[in-house]
Amino acid sequence: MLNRKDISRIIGDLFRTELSSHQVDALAIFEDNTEELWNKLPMEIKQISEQKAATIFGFMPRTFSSLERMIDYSYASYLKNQQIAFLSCENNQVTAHVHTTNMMWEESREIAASLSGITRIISLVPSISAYGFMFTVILPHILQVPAMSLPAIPTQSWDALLRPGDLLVGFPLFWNHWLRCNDHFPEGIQVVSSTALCKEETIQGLFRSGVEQFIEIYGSNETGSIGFRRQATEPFKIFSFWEVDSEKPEPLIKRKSGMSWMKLPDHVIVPGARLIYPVSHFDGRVKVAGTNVYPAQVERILASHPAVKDCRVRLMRPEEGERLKAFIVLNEGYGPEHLGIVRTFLSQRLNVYEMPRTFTFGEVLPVTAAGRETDW
Amino acid sequence: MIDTINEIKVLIASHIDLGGIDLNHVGATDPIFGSKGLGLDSLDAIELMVLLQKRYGIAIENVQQSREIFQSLGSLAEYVDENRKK
Repeated sequence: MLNRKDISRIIGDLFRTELSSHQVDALAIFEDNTEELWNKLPMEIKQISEQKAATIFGFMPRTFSSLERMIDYSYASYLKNQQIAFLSCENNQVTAHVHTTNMMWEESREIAASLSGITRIISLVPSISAYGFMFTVILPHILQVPAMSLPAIPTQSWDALLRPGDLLVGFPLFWNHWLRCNDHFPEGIQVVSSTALCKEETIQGLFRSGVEQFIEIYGSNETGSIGFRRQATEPFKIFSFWEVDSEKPEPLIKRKSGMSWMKLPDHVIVPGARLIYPVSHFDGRVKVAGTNVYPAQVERILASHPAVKDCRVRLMRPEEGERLKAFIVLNEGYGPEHLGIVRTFLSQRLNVYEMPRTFTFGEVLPVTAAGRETDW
Repeated sequence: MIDTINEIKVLIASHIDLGGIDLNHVGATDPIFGSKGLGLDSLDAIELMVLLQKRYGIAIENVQQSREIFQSLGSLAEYVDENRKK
């Protein structure tokens, strides 16, 4: 059972995420004082946060006069409904994926069984995703260990912060930055990663830096945790609380405790029973800092600007970065000097994860010698 | 401090695409984050912290400190001048 402090943590993370993703306060994700954030919330972000809290905890949207009242009401709703919803956004539509307390505890107990020697959990991820919630809110209850949150700043004094038995909960983008400015972990540190697939060189870099154990969780807000692996070369092993139907061209999964069959979030290769290698997403979504974004949707919005005759949006190549990039063919009368107005137009319609980081101009879309569209 | 401001502008521009912003028009009082000034976002913040550590040996460790330091190019340059190790 969650307590009021858990609910308070989720609401604080909701504010941080909304403030930074709407580009209201770029440093909000690093802010640990929730009361201070509440006091400074712009009206629009407060309303969005209240609506999302209503969906997460299952009550009718309402306004709150204080942070305390919002936490109390959310906690009461959780106690009544015994469920939490994780949110995903597709085509500007927020979808709620409801997880019952029983589902979450079943999942956490199995994850806990795959860990050993943990004496403290240190989280670098917000608790409003299924992954963050599982590791920073429920797992501390199951393992009976303290949990603390740190801002995802890779330039901290890790030797002073960490101690043997710590489980550091992070995500691939953070590990990549961590490896650029650190070369070792103190002894006895375990690392867990999720939200996007960790590259092989990242996992190898973490081991070279002295990580005692590494575990990567595969899953989504829709499904919760699906499987795990300990090495980059291994397939993910599907957790035992899932039934798997491998007879179909794409495997289906279903909770043994209930629910209906569902597709995995990705196309997968199945090298053996209850083993999977995720290959690519079904619906063209990509991950930016662990968040699902849809390049085709960004492309539609970009194409709606009068300066844009044609455009393409795609994920950067690994050597370019981990954001979206855009290629634009301009209409007559417009030039690269109009990029500023196009960027402003986009920033009013896209969140920080969707916003292309680079813009390239050309007279025609890039194509290969054979006439097929290509990268730029 | 002017030299440091220019150095930081070059450092940022060489690692983060600023989308055609004319750096000559960005000064000490302009913000680093948000729609004005350099226009960086929250995902760029981590990148910037890493760049500062690599270039100047400066480890920015907490958000309260970050908010003051990253308020503007001028405040960042002042912090760099006072704390750089290389």
